[in-house]
Amino acid sequence: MVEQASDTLDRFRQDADLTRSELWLRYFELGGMSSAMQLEAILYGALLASPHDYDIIAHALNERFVELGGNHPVPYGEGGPGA
Amino acid sequence: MDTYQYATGEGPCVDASIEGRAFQTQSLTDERRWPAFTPSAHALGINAILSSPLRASKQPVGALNIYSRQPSAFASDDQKLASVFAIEASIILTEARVDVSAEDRAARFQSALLVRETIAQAQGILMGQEGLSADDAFTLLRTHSQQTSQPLFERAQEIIASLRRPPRDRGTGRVGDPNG
Repeated sequence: MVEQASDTLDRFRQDADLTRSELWLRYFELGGMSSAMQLEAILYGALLASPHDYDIIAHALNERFVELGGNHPVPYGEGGPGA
Repeated sequence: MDTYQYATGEGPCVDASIEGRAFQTQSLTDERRWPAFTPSAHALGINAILSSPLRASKQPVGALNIYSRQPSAFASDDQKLASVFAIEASIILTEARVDVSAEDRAARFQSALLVRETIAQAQGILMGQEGLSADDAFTLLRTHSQQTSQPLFERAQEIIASLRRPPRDRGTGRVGDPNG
């Protein structure tokens, strides 16, 4: 489940043509508290994102998709325990 | 060895870095392209060099250098293998955005800090006005952004601006009322 969620996030990141560091900056702008390294671990599936953190990452990706003319393809509410 | 190339400003590493293509020499004894660098390398016992370009975002940023004391040390397969390593390294360098200057990084991070602060202020306003937790205030902003496709930062700016109304006259509620 954890790997599936992270796989999904990293797949969306690649589709959004964002590097991991670019995604981290966007996540940081939205108030994300994890370090760039922690975010990378989340994307690799080595670290579990909290539900709130997951939604921030998802929204950072979705805003990028809107910039590219898309909608909000990344689902929310698919974080870790308690999501 | 690399230091000699940087000091003389010439050598296969320098050329590969500038031109973005592989350079090699199979025997420094017969090498004539880098007259300032070659004697230093030869003095250290180097005879063959293979330099493969490293790129970040398709721009040459350096080179992967392999040295050998044996002349003609690099066969065709070795060149291909070095190229594969250089391509893999280039992917990592592109991912790390090493082509972006320190100034650009600092400016981008400064901008990110301002955006973050604006959003945090809007969250604080919503927390005070609606009695929400920080996470719920973010969810409210995020949901609005999701429904309208308005960037969350712009919505945050609107919320902050809504608190900056002109001062109202206490007697009449009209700004600048001469009877107030």
